[in-house]
Amino acid sequence: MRKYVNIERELDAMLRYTGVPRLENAIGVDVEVLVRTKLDFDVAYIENLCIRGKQLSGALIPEHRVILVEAFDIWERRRFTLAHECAHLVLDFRNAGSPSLFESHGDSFICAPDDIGTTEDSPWQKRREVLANQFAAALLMPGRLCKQLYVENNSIDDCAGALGVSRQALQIRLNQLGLRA
Amino acid sequence: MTEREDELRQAVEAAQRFDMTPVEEAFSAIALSPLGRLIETVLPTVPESEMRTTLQRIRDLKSGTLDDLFDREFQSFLISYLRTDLSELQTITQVLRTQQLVSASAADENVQLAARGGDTGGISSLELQSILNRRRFT
Repeated sequence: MRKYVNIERELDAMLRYTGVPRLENAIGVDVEVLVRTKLDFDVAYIENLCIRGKQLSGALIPEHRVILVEAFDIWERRRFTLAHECAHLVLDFRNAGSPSLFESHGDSFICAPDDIGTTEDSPWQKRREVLANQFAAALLMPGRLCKQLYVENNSIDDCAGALGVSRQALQIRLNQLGLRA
Repeated sequence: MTEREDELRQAVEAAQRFDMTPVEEAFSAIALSPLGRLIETVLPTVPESEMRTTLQRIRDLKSGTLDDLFDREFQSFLISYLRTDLSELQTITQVLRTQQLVSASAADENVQLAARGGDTGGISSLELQSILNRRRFT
């Protein structure tokens, strides 16, 4: 396991391969199109996504090339979930993706099978989830675009609407970017 | 009636006499293709929608396998025949591929997964099939 993961670099590597499909407003990232057409993964919206008694927002099944997403979640949350699972695909299961997807960074993040499926409280599991959230945030709310939108509008709601994310997610991202106290 | 009009009349009568029944019967006797059989396993979970109609039309072609859906010539034919686009065809292909992969696994085979909202330690193919049966098609 690599000690340091540069999320922005991992994201750039993916986007160089996939390009950035946009929503109809030409601002937000169309993460479903990205997953379906560029990464060739199926996206299945499941009503009451529950596995072994646990209610889940989403799950990535690399072996079957499918991402499961809770259908009853609001649109913004479903998008974040999809981006989060996309992060697991890139960071944890890169070998399941297209063979040409990460040629240039093929050895930068190797996840041993024993590292996956540990208890949810383990530091490794927590770190994976934190990294996946950071990746998802960077994918849906690119730093420069966020700053530009926020400076132009100075309205969290307008920015969140344009990017197709929740208000809460954008607030966290803006804090990370140093734009809000 | 001119000679030409008489020829046209005869042609129309001949066309009306032509019986398509044996041809239709012969076609309906042809068994479903592997692709058609795969579609049959998915259809019960797909509500009335454009996608369901498209799936039914592909099934009724009685030809092809899942792999053929990745063949550019077959894709081109389907896009023209179904009056659809590559994006929709790709979605259908992915839905069918998922179904085939899950069906092909042994019921108790453990499937590795990464979940948002809690680690579950993997699930069996049977559980995954049950989850996919609750899939929502939009």
